[in-house]
Amino acid sequence: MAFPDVQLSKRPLHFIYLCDCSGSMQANGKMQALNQAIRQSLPGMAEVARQNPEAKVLVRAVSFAHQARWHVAEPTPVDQLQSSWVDLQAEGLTAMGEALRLVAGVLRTPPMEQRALPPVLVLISDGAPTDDFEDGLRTLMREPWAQKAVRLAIAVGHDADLDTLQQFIGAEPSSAAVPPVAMPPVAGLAAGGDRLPGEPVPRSGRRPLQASNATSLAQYIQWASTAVVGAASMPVSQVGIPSTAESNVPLPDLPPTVIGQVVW
Amino acid sequence: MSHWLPPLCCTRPGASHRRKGVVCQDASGWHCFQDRQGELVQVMAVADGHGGARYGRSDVGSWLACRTALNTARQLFQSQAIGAATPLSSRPTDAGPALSEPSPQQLLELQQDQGQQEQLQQDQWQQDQWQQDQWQQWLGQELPQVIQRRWLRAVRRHWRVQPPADGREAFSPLLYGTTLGLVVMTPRWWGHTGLGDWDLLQLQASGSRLLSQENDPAAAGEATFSLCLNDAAAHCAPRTAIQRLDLETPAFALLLSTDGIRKSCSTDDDFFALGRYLSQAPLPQAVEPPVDLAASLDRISSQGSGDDVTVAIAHWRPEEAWHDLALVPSEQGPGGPRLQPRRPRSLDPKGQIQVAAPDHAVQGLPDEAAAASIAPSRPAPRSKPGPGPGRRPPRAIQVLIVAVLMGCLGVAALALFRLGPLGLAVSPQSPADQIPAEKVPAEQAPMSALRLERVRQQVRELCAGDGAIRSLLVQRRRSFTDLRWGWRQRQQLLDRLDLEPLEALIALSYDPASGALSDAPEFVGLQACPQLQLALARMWLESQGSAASAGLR
Repeated sequence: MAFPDVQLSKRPLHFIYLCDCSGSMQANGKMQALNQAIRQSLPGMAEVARQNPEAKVLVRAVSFAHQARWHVAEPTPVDQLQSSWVDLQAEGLTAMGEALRLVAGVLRTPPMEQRALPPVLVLISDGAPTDDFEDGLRTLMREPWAQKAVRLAIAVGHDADLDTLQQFIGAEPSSAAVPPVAMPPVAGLAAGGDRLPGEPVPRSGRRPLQASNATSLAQYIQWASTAVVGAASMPVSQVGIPSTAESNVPLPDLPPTVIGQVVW
Repeated sequence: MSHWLPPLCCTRPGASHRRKGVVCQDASGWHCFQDRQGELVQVMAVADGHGGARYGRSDVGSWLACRTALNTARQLFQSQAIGAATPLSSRPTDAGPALSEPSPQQLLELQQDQGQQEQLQQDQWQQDQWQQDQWQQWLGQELPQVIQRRWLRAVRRHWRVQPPADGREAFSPLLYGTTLGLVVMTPRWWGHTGLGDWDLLQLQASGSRLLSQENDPAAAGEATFSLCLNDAAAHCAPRTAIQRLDLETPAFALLLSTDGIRKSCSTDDDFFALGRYLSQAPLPQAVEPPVDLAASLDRISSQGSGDDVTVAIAHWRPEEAWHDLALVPSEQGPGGPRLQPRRPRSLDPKGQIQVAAPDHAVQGLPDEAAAASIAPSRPAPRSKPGPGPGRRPPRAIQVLIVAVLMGCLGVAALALFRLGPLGLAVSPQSPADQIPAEKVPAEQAPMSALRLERVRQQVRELCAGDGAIRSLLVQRRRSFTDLRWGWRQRQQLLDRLDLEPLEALIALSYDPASGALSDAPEFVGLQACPQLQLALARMWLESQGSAASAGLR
């Protein structure tokens, strides 16, 4: 009997930039640095996509200023985006809440595929929202796909509202929230995790990443576009632990911090 | 008597795992045995190790989960505690003989009789309901608790026997994290339990139903519940259900699968269609199976999620019954499972566990998951037992005797035999190990005397040499590995006798049933010296590790 006529498909991985295009982004070349960083990250993301053919990496971008709008509305394969990326322009306020509502609209099923990989949402901002961010976040987080998503935030400069960005990411898991792992009844063994006692906890993307110059901004966007996309592309399951706020996808460690001039 | 066809299980490494050289972290298996009342019980299990660096031994964890679950189910079914519960009674299927027109007196008596009948039926129903509740509690609570306890012991023992090379890492069950799905099938009921992101489909003429899936919000996305969690057993209760069976229950199939299958499908309708295709029942007198499971699973993974893919399939066929209890196992060769080309397939109540092995050697299995539980399960005469994990290679004792006789050489060699803490050398089942007995005769066609003499000459040359046996064999390490894992066939090496007589000797020295040195007349007749026997035996044992380090092909 012939194989049935069923639609087998690569699992789509939706990667969405949420870019602050408020007027303040014009200052000190932040907008230019952001455009440059995204452009530079696309070849790396395309390479990661090639290395993980079971995932179909699709990129979109939202810009928010006076209002939020789709900068790249259609889920676009990353290799196509390399030649079609149009630079973002900075002007106006910071309608971050509206941007979240816009994204919430596309994370519903449909149009989201049932079998998609957890999406990756990257929020980049240099300031504070000027609209109802709380409402936008509530709308977003009502969507199951938003709850499953890998949510990252990059603070551009020291004026960025870190509390808001942390709200978007979700609470940072405390070091005490180790998985409640079952241990055989053998005394003298420490439970939980695969780090030894005293071993430093690696930096994670569970806090807003603070970019103080063009180099570090590029570095963080590169990390989100390659390492995180790579981790999210791998069909790897992990232990579901209700009591912890662990990321749905094990986040790779951040690259080493580049000590550079604080420009922003 | 059973109306269940023997299950089919197939596990294939995912396309992305093959490309990246990652071991397969799925496992599956089934078991058939008699309970205390002599009723035939079948159990099938699938498990999916979590993968990723944090769960570095999850391939072993999933394999141990399947073995432990199958063994535990058997032991509990056969123990007094479980056996004391009377199986669910059959639902009445006959209303009784037809009655002629009754007289008023007869009518009165009839009404009284009917009242008694109804009362009896009501009592029976209540008793059945009570028994069903008992089984539900056993399946959803007691069995998972025992399985998890034993699995934890098993993974700890594995850690002790195979500690990390650097010794820095502390033991954690997280390393072995795995899901587990289990289906129990008896003549009068069937049920499922487990935890994690497996799916269970029921497929019948009237339609398909998704009976069980992971719904808990805590297990969203790629997260899943795991046997390594403290409260693992508690997560099994929501995934547990019992279904009654009788001869009026229409034929249906059950398809238990790891998440790689469903995540490869665009929609659930595609998943159902795929389930119907994979679970086609073999037709009577069929020579070929209706579906090449291995090829189909490979296709699903490569065109879909890329994840490891596993299915376990069972068929309830009330119109057919099996009384013959000689085991005819399914073939799990490199080409995938094959049904035996004869019907009816039959079951072995003494039990034979078939669990696809992890991709590297597993040593130090716990008692309940290894030899202690397998050993009493004598395989049926026509099925050659494979050297499954937990089996003591029959040649090991002979080799030990030879080693003792050889003094210091033997002592040195024994250290390399990887004897477990109980003197148990455990080897994984390789695809070659699982070739059914029916294929063995063709594969091991006797060699002509002339050709045998050519091999015997090789033996004499080796034994008369200056002690270079070991180095000569090491140069042919690949042949050992290829034979053990089914990547090359015995006959291929024998055909090269004129060019490579040593490879022909290697082929003759291998017993695919035990995974160790052969005691077949062909090999014994070669009259190999003890040094050569010892060196060959050592190579066969080492070939487990060679295959492990080589990873997947």
